[in-house]
This record gives sequence, C-alpha cells and structure tokens, in this order.
Amino acid sequence: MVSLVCSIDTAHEDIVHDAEIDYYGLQLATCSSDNMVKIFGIKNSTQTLVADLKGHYGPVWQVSWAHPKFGNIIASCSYDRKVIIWKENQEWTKIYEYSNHDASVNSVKFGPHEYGLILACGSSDGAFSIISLNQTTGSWEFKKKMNAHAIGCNALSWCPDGKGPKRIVTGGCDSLVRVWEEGPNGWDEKAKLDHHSDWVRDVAWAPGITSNHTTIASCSQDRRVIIWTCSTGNNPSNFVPHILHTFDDAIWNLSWSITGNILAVSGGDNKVTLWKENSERHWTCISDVNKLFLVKSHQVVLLEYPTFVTTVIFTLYFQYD
Amino acid sequence: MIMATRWSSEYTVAEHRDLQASAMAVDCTGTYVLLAGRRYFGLKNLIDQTDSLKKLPRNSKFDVTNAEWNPHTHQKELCAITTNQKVEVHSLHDSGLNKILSLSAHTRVVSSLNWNQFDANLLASCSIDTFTYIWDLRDPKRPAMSLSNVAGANQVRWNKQSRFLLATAHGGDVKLWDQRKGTAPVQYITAHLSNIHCLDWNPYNENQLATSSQDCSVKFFDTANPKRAESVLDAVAPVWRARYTPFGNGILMVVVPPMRRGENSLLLWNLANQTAPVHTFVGHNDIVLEFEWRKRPESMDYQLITWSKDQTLRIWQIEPFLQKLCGIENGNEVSLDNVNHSDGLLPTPPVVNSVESTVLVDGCNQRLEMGESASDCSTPPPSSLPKSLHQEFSLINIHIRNVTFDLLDPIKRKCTVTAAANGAVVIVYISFPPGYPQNVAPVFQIAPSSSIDSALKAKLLKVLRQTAQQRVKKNRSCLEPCIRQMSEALDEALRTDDSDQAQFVQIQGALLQHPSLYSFRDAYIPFPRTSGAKFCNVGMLVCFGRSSNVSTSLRTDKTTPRSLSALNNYSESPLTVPSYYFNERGQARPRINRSISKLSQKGSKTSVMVYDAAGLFPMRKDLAQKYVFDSHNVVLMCQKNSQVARSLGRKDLSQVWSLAAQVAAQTTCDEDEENDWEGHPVSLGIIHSLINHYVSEYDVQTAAMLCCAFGNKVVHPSPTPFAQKTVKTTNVSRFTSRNWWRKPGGSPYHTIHQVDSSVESLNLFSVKQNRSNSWSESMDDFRVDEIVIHSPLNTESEKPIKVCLADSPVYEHYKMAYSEILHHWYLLDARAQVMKYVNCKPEVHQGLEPVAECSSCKQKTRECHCATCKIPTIFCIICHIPVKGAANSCLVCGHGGHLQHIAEWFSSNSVCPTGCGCQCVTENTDSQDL
Repeated sequence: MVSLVCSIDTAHEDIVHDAEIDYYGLQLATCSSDNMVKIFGIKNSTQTLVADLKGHYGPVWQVSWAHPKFGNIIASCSYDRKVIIWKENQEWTKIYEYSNHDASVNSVKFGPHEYGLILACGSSDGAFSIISLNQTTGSWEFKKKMNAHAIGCNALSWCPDGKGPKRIVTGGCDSLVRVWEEGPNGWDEKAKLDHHSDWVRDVAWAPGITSNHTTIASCSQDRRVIIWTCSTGNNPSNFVPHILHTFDDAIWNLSWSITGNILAVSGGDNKVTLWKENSERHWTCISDVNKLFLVKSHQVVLLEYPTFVTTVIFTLYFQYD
Repeated sequence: MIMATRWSSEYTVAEHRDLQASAMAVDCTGTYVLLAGRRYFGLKNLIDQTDSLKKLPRNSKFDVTNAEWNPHTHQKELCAITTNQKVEVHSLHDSGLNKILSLSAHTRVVSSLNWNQFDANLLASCSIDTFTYIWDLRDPKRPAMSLSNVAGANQVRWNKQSRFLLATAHGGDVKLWDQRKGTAPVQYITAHLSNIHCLDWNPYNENQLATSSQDCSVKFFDTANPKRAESVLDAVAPVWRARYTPFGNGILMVVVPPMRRGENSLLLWNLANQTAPVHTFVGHNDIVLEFEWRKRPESMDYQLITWSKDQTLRIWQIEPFLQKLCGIENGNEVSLDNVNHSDGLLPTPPVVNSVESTVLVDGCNQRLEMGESASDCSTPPPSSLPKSLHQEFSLINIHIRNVTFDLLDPIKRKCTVTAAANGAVVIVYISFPPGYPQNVAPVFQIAPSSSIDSALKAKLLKVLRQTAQQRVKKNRSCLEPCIRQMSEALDEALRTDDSDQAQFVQIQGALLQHPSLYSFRDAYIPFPRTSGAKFCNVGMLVCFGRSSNVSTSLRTDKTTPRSLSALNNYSESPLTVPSYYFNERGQARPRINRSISKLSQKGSKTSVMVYDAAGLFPMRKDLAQKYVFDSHNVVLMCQKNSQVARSLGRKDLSQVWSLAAQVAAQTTCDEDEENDWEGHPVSLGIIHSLINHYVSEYDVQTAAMLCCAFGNKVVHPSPTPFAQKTVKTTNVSRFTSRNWWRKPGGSPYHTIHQVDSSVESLNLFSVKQNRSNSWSESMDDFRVDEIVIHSPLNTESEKPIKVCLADSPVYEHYKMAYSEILHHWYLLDARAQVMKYVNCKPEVHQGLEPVAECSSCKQKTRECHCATCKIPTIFCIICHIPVKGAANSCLVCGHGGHLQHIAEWFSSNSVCPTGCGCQCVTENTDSQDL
C-alpha cells in the first residue's frame, strides 16, 4: 500500500537534513549541510530542479512551506543563526532574513494560514521567535520569547487548529516539552510536560480532524516517543503522557499524517517506522509488528493486501546501493 | 546563573603519537611529566618551555598500566610503574631513567599502585590475583605485608591524612585496611553494583572517600558511617576517574562516553553544588586516560595535565576564578600581585588565540560576576589606614582626558574607572589591599564588558601593574599615574587599530566560520538529523536518510550522540556528518571498486524518496473526483455515489451509500404526510452512527460526504434573475477538464448552471459575486453574501430531504477537514461543493475590487449596466463594443475591454492600445509583485 513514487537525487554535496513537499504535493524543498536549499518540481513522478537557494553560511537544518494562499514561500533555518524566507516571484528570491538569534536556529515552521503569514523558529540560544508579515503595512514583525528552554530549543510545532489563540509546542535541551499560547502580553507557558529524561529532539502537534482531544507527540535523545493527550479540549494543561515505544537509538523526527492517526518516527538508527492509532485509541507499529512490507533498494516489496484498507503494514529501510 | 562554562582554557597541546603511552605521571614538584608506553618512556620538563620530550627506549613486551612518582620531595626522583605482574621503581637522573628495583610477587597483572603519603619508602600495589601488597623499598625482595582478599583488587589508595589506612576496591566493593592489622579489612563498603574504576581520599578529611564506577556515578562515603553514600554524583556515562581537586571543595571527573562516541570532556564539579559541573574542559578527541594537578611554582595558579588516548598531552590553565568556582575562599588577588614584584614576572595571560577570545565572549557574564565577587571577597574590612586612601581619592585629578571615575569608595577600598577611546570602552575595577601603598600594589581587573579584545586587555593590565609596581616600591600612591598610563596606552593601541578596523570585521566573519569557535557552542546544538520522514500533502511520505553503506556501520548498540560537538572528535574537517559515520566504519571493509563506490555514495547520500502512502488512508482521490453533490435530490445523490464507489471497487462504501439512499428516500418520499421521521430509528440515527463510525476509522471523506448529503446547504443568492435551477446534478469530474471556466456560468462555487444565454453577458463586476475571478488568487476568499435556506421548487424531480442533520459543530468540523484535504488534492471544485455546506461566517474581503464608473452619471457600479442610465459601463478599447462578459483592464491607465481582445493585443504589444503611453504589461507585473 506504500509505493515509491520517485527517488530524487538532490545532488546535495552533503547530508540532507530535511525535506518537505508543498501543500499541493507539487514541489519538494530539501536542505543540507552544504548550506543550500533546493527546490524540485515533482509533478508526474518526474523531478526537475527548480532552484538552488544560496544564502545560508552554515548547514541548513529545516525547511517549511507556507500555505499557498500567500504564494510559493518557504522558510529555512540554519546553523548560521539565521532564518531566511524565500518566495517565488518568477524566480526564487530571499524576501526576508531574520538574524536575531545568538545560536544555531534548529527548527522553523509556518503556522496555520488563518493567522496570516506567520512562522515560528526555535534556537539553541534558548529562545523561540514568532515572525509574521503584517498584511496591512507589509512589514515583517517579530516577537522573541527568551529563555523558553534552558540551554536550547530544539524543535517546535504549531497547533494546527487555526481557530482560537495561537499555540505552539516546543521541546528543548532541558528535557521538557512546553506548550505556549499567545496572550495579550506575549507568549505564556500553558503547560510544562516533563517525562523525558534527555534532550527533546522533536515535537509534533497532531491535527485534530476527528477528535476533540489535543494530542502532541514528542521524541527525545532518551530513545522514547511520548504521546501526550489532553482531553479538556480548549484548555491544554493536563496532558497525560503515554510512552509509545522505547527505540534502539535517539529519535529525532516525528510527523503526523493529515488525519492525525498515523505517526512517522525516525531516528539515529536510520529507520522509519509508522505508528497507527486504532479506533480504540491503541497504538500499534504498523511496520515492525508484522514486517510484511519492506522497501529495499528502491523496490517496494508488497505482499498480498490482507483485508481492509485500514490496516497497512510496511517498513522503510534506507538501503540504496 | 550557575551554568557549566565550557570554553577551553588550555594553552599547551603536544602530540606524542609515537610513544603510544598508556600511563602518565607528574612528579611532586611539578617539574617532570612521565609518559610510559610499551616501547618508550617519554620525559618532559614542564618548567622549561624549551625542553622537548625526551624519548627513552623501554622495549618491553608489556604495556605500562600505572605510573606514579614518589610524592615526597626527598625521594622525588623515584617513579614507580606497573607492568604486567611487576612493579618497577625507576630513578630519574640527568640522562634519563634507571630501573633500580623490580618488585615481583603478584601472580597476575598488577592493577594499581600507590605511594604512601607519609613514608617515602612505602608503596602499595594490588592485583587481580586478589592480593594487595605493601612494599618497603628498603627490603624489596618480598612485600612487607600482604593483604588477602577473596576478590581481585582493581584499585588501591592510601589515606592522605592517616598514615596507616588504605582502601582497596574489589569489583563494586571497597575495603578499608589498617596497615597495622593486616589480617582482615577494618571496614567493608558495598559501594557500587559495577566495577569501581577509581578511588580517591579527600585530601582534607580522613573519613571521606570518593568512588567512581562503571555504573555512571561517583559516590562519596563517610568511612565512619559507610552504610550508605553521603552523596551521589550522577554522570551521563561510566566514570573512569574522579579525584578531589587540590583546591577548594571540588572534584574532577573523567567519563568514558559509551562506545567511545560522545564528548571526551573533563568535568569539574563543585561538591557544594552537585546539580551541574562548574566547568568542562573540552578538547580531547578520545578518552582521557589520566590527569594530574600541578601547581605552578611561582603562582597560585594550578595547571591540569591530561593525557588522552588521542596521544596528546594537554596542559590547562586553572585560573583563580575556576578555583573560586570550586569553592575556594581566597584573598589570592594579593598574592597574585605579590608575584608581580617578587620576580617581575607577570602571571602571563593565557596565550590569546581564537579559542581564548571566544571564551571572553561567552564567559562574559560569568566573569563579570566573578570579577565583582572576587573584588568583594578580596576586600578586607575597613582597615586602620583608610586615611591615606581617603586622601589619595580626594587629591586625585579626575579630569583626565577620556577617563571617568565611576566609583571611589575608600571604605570598601574600591574604585571603578571607565576609559573611552576611539569607540572602545574599558572598565577597570581596582581594589586596594590593606597594605597599600606600602609596597603593595592595588589589584586591577578589566571588566569583561569592556569592548576591547583580550590582547589589548592583557596589554593594559600589564601597563597598570608595571606602573603600580614602580610607584608602590617607593611607597607612593599610584592610582592617578596608573590611570593616565593606561589611558595613553589605550589611545595608542586604538590609533593603530584604526587601519585594522576593516580587517577586524573580516576576522569576525572568519571567526564565525572557524570550526573551533563553533565547536564549544556545538555542545548545545543537537546532533543533525540524518534521516527523517514527513507526511506531506495527503498521502505523500517524504523520506531521506543515510545511504546503506553508512548505515551498515551503525550498529544498534551504538547510540547517536546528543550534540553536534561529537562531530569534532571524529573528523579532520569538522561539521561533516558523513565523515562521522564513515569514520565509524573502520578500515575493515575492503575497498573494492573505489571509484564506483564513491560515485554511488555521492548520489545516494543525498537522495530523497517520495512514497505514495495514500493506501494507508481511507480517503481516496478518485472517489473525491467522482462523488456528486445534489442538495435537491438527496436520494439520487446517494445512489450515484453508490455507483461511483462500486465502480472504483469500494463495495463497502457502495453499500453505505445505498443505505443512505434508503434513508433519504424515507425522509423525502411522502411530502404530504407529516411523518415524524426525525425520531425514527432507521432514519437519521443510522446516518449519525455511520458518520461516527467513519470518523473513528479516520475516514473523513465518507463522514464529511454523509454530513453534506444530509446537511443543510447554504445557498448563495442567485446573481441573475435568469438563473433557473434546472440542472439537477453536477458531476465534479466534469470540471477537471481544464476549460471548465469557459463554460457558461462556470463558477467554482456554484453548481447552479444558468442555461439562459444572457449569462454570457456576466461582466467582470458581477462576477465578483460569483467569486469566480478569485479562485486562482486566493481560494479562501469566498463569501456568502446572504444565507438563504433553500426552499425546494415544486418540480417532480427535486426531492430535497425534509429532515436534516442538526447543525453540529462537529459535523462542520468534518466538512472543513475534508475540504482541506480536497484543497491539498487541488480538487477545487469538489472543495467548493463541500464548502457550500459549511455554515461559516463570511470572511471579510480584503482584495482589490474593480468598480466601474458610469460614463454619464458618474455613479459607481459593479453591474455591466449603470442602474440609473442603463448605459453599458465598459466599452472594449479594441472593438468599441460594450463588454458584457469577462473584462480585463490595466490597473494603471484603466483602459481595458474584452478579455480575449486584450489578451491578443498584449501577446504582441506591451503598450496600451489607446496610445495613452502606459506600459501596461510592465506596470501591472510590477504591481503584482507588491
């Protein structure tokens, strides 16, 4: 049920740190230690290099696409302490550069489009910033929340619900996951989730398409992935941790499916596993349990599909020779 | 702010790769360092900077496991080493080392040795043969005493306060012995669960013992009450060495990062505060094998000598503030100054290199605090001689150019001076020891907030101290001359710096690039992601990762390091992740087809794969394309959708839609009879439960479609009076052909198709209400002008349901979620269909609104005819015929006309067809960019 659409040789000269496809699934942005961001068109399973974005002076850690109603816009963050926002007007150009952090910027994410063109970034200087475009004046504004995490902020994620006050979740070197909400006097900490025993490497706020629970996933150097749920809908304060699994290596990347019931987990062991929540709210690994599907050397090994579309099993290993 | 500072204050690094030394020892005077390996001894004079390492051949079959110099000055030339089963005592003389004794009694490898702190002839050694022997050098034939135990011993340490007491470690246990009573241990401590790597007695407290172990902890025991540890210091990795510092109440710890990956740092702790180390010595690229303290004979400063597996000998300067961090109470600033005039030798500031300069940037706050508290501490209570200082302060000429005296406090005997020159600001704290000025110079400190580099700082300090020395030698007060001298020196330095200003900026840039600057910061930057997977769009999964030949080297027993700084330990060119993993691989793998592997490697390490994971989700794009919407005949809609589902192989959904059709038929069949279907169990109840079921299966598509079918449609007012609702069903797939908008009345948000020919005359301005012009610009700009609940027309074919699902916000939410998914799929028409069922508030229109002005009455109108004069509002500039359909106009000059005509014109021209001279094409693209 999972098939390879295309394999894109990005021709980056160094390790790729992040890759994201735009809203419509037409363009891919990648970033790498070679200080570059690249944009590829991936229409009809063919790939074309659209642009090489040069502007960073250090490894680029993360890229994020804005909602298409603002145009084709991406943001990238780098070790060089900068966030750069790029826009495609005929060709890709830098439209804003944010250099208000004192250390490597580790994470950048655009917020829900209902709030306008807005993005958040977290840095190793311990702060996170919210950068937004003022639609009336056309100028960029930013708010910096200092000391959000002692030592450093490693990851952040927006609450995907575009209604109500803006919310983000951050994870940092203090092993904590913190939930923030924008109030009249800036960003206030709404919840402090303490269950990890080492640096939190990634956080992901689940899209709550079908439930009124607030769900956040966090992963850490302690090799665990924790699913935090809060049933009190509007007031995210009482989060209950549930340890999804303890992995073999540090986990550094989480991604929710659009339905919010499948979580992609990847970490230092170079392996991607998919975890699915069934209707009874139990989590199962739909890759490791049965090992039915194995993607190997660009080939997808698909076994006979068992019964119904809702259970799917596959594993991804990176074995490209 | 207690945070571990982690700059590197080392100032000497020497690499001695050829020695392959496994043990290191510094003699008690701090003069010689011995590096001992299997084939060579290396001997180096630490005082004589010019002395290079003396290499003495050893040529033994066995490595040296331990080395220790005799701690007594009268026998300081003696050095004991352990090699295999023997303990050898060597004597140092001019030409090198002479083996004078070989103590053999152990039957297995000797694991540790230690000289007695009180008797220069006594030496203890232990072995895994279970025996601990005490040797007397005067009778080296056999051990003077043997302490027997059942378990092999891995450590032995004499107490530093009590001459007869010694401790041995056996696995995780510690035994205390009294030399006078050697038959049995006097104390037995169950300390750790894993092996103890190091024992150390507190140099000031005879009852305190520190044990460091494989179990990643250091425990402190009171031997008088050893039942449980007094305190435990947890480390992140097994602790290889942990010993008390010779100053303050500190401990220095060496941890072994698991699998030799991670930071090979030495951690300095203040035992009074065990939450975090006070300092980290960063620099070694491999495990630190041994460390020793050395006191510089001419100063209060300590040095730390470390020998690591990376075959480098490093000497770290322990500056007074570090000692202070370990809780030393000192008034050492005085003695620091005493040094100055005792031999005229300034305590040389550490060699200023790029590493050091970063120190200042980062340790800024720390030092500031330090500096202040230092001067506080060093200031004695008001002494008996305040008068002279009072006098000096009152007599001082404070009008020195560019200098301001911020603080003159004769009580606290402190003074703060700010000197400015050329944009640079230097703040100097001066404190006056009680003896001043009788041959006692004041203590100068330059605040770290001063905007000068450390070289200049050092220079200014030197000027200050020299001037002060000259004056106080003659018992004269020195403040004013000192400040004047410094001001001059500063001026001079900055004048020359002027030309270097540009260069300085360049250097700053270069520093940013410089790996060593980054490296110490990197300890807090997470290790870069080298693999990942992201769900994008609806069912796309983007994956990237390391290529396979790299990943094979990555065993599961090795965990990924935490921070970026780990990279520096593994690669010559820092900050390359691949080199990190490739280094791991080792040389074992034969290099066949080098060029090929290199090529493939380059390609594969940067591949990004896009997977279609749509199969994981119940939503299907083909269904979305083919589903139909019809608010007027719900039964038909359900039936058609049932067919759609069947044709696409979803028999389950087909049945659901058939069921829905049944329900819809029930609710609509008898218009005359007022059956209360609302309460009937098989009517809407089943729809509710169907929706809930599909939601719990995360099938938003089916749930939302059911919500739509049985929901209230929000109907927009018809833009023209001609609109007849004659088209019953609208197949969305029809719109997937690219030309759908050319069809009459084609509005993405309206299924109602006007058949009247007059619809063609919809001009640009009425289109606004149709919202069809905005679809490509901003999909979300739809507006509901008025919400009218559709009342069914009395045509036979139309059978809208009478009973609707209640307007539950949850259902609205499902519809919104589905419309979002449709948007991702770029099925804008289907999305518009769904959005028609969403009862949401109209968004305020923020875009441009074209408004035409009637040529006769000058009234503004959006219609194609002026409401009052009935004159067409726009005439095409090309054909001069009134425009009824799509119009286009230049935003700058306002000229426009039929879309087709204008498009034709501008395909070959760029200037306005009227000849007004407007560069319409360029002007409009410019304004678009805004």
